[in-house]
Amino acid sequence: MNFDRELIVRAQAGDREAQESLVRAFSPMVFRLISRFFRSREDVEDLAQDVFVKMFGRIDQVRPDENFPGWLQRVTVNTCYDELRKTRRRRLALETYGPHEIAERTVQPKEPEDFGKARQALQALDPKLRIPLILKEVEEMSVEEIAKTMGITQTNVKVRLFRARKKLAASLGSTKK
Amino acid sequence: MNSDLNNFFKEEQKHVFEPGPYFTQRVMAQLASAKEQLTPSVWDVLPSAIRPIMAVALVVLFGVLAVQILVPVEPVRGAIEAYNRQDLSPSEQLLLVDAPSPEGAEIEEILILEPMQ
Repeated sequence: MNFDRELIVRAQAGDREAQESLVRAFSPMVFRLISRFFRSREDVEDLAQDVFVKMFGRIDQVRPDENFPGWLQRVTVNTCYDELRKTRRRRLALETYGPHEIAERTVQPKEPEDFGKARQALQALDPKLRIPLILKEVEEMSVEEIAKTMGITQTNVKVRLFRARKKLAASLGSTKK
Repeated sequence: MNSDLNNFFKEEQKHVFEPGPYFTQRVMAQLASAKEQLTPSVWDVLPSAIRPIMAVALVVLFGVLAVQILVPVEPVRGAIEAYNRQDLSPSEQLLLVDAPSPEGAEIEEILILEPMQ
């Protein structure tokens, strides 16, 4: 992705115009990435805002010669991971202790049956398995890119992908029976 | 991976939200309010691991200070001093104990009485 590296230096110095330009330049990428994990526009917008606030909070750590888009992708994926973990914990608590009807309401209506099942199976996956799978299959990232984005080793990515596919196949297989 | 899942992932690629027209302004507004809230206090300067230790140290320090201020270091008149004072003559009391100095007439009386004893 081409962008003016001077923008980062200016944004680091607190230049408001440069900060706005950075948001405008990178918001489509951040939105696209968050859309992979969240279904509602409100969630995506709120998380994208969090990502940019975090980005400006840590912009002093960025070196102008560093791969800035890659760094921002990492911040975005980490933000999504934290949110997915929180959502999963809330959902599990609700399914265990809450009224049954509320737990069922989280399932998306109006969707082809197969896609609905696939989405349910995907949402049931642990975020640490789900994120690499989505980055690989939907975002079409390489194992190396996923490893860099998630801050884990390539071997770890491969293991997680294998486990995610296995779990997904198992849960889809069990729903078909 | 089966074709259903592949189709599902292909379908997911189409699902993308674009930033709204006021998104940049929203971010800049949030950033401005976050900057106001983020003026660091002395507490924020400390690493989080040190904070409990620092809190305990402060509680102990304030405890010691409170004891120093509220509890007198020495009693006004100790038990030994009170005991000794019983046996002292008025002139010895005048010399040895930190008693208020008597008036001129009293002091003369003490000085006159002393040789008679």
